[in-house]
Amino acid sequence: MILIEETLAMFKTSGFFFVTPGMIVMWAIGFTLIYLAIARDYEPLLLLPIGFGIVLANLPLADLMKPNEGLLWRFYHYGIQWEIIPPLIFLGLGALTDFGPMLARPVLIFLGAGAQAGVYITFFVAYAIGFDLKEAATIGIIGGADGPTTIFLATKLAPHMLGSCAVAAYSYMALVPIIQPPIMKLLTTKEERVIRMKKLRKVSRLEKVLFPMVSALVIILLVPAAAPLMAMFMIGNLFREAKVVERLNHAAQNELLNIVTIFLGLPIGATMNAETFLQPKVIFIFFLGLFAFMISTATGVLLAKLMNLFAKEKINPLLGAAGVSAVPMAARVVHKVGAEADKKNYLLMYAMGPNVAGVIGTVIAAGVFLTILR
Amino acid sequence: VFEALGIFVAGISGVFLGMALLYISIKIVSGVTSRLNSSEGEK
Repeated sequence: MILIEETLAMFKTSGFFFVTPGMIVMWAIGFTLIYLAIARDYEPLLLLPIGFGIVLANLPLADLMKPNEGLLWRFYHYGIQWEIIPPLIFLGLGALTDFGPMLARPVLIFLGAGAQAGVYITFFVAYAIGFDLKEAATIGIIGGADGPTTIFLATKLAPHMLGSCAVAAYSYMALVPIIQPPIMKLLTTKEERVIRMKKLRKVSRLEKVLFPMVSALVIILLVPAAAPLMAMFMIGNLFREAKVVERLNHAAQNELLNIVTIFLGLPIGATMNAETFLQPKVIFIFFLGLFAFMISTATGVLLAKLMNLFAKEKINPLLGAAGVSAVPMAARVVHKVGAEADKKNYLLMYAMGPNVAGVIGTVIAAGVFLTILR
Repeated sequence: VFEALGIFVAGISGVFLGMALLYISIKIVSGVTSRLNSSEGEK
């Protein structure tokens, strides 16, 4: 009898006794993300740790997100709230980025700006349907298709929406090949899709070395709030282009980026507990995130068409869709849609220009939000 | 609504201004570097 009572008492102190229906729903969401990452290869580097983080954060009594005590809370607090991890991700991205195509045809950087219109249109729509200004800005930035920037902005403006916005951003980035092509085809004619671009000029090493320094100066002077991301992005790129710090370049591209990716995904997933996530607002966040993504694609394409009205050398308007910063997925999609219209039209290198410009554009957009709203 | 509209306008202008400055910087840098390269070639 005593044995049974003690077994029952032990059971009552175990997590099983405190599982709620909300937690089970969150497990299902976490396992779905893990499934999408493993079985469908949807942004596995992020969705896998995020999915597991969701499951871990919704285990009763484990207290992994308990302030000042929980392991995942420490990752979250010191890594994300302290603004360490998103800038480190940008360091790695900078080391991975080749600005050559953008420097070869600089006019294409405006397409990276055009796609940011979707960010601000969604911001306005989100505000109009009842989100406050900071929440609306955090939702809008999903349209930039840049995960680390979304996380950076959400942490500062709407930390309660961090998990949902990050998952929305990474999910839609994985869905770029599905979301973008219908919009691109809808907004362009066959004649426009077959436009061939002029051959890119050769960019000198000196230009590539000077660019990260000049652009860091210009952008940080214009939007100081964007400094953490911009500074790390450009120092990473300088490591790459200087060709004299190969060890640092290699570490930034590989070991460092891999390590911080682990410490980014887990705590973001862990911010998604049943109480904060299972709310009607979250559904709106996902819908508005998709809307932002679609509008960004459309505004990029439309800007390219507008530029063609004045340009001597026509631009293939599909390139505008690469202005969302999902690198290099959006550029690949542009190439694929272009090749469907003309098999011999190789748009990939040209699309990389607006694609990397889109990263800078999204950082500026986030910097403007921070400057005004923080 | 006016505040949101203000942010909307400031945001889009800010992004385009940033890109315009970047465009001008790239043009200046490429102009200077091509001159440097051509003068080195002459030597």
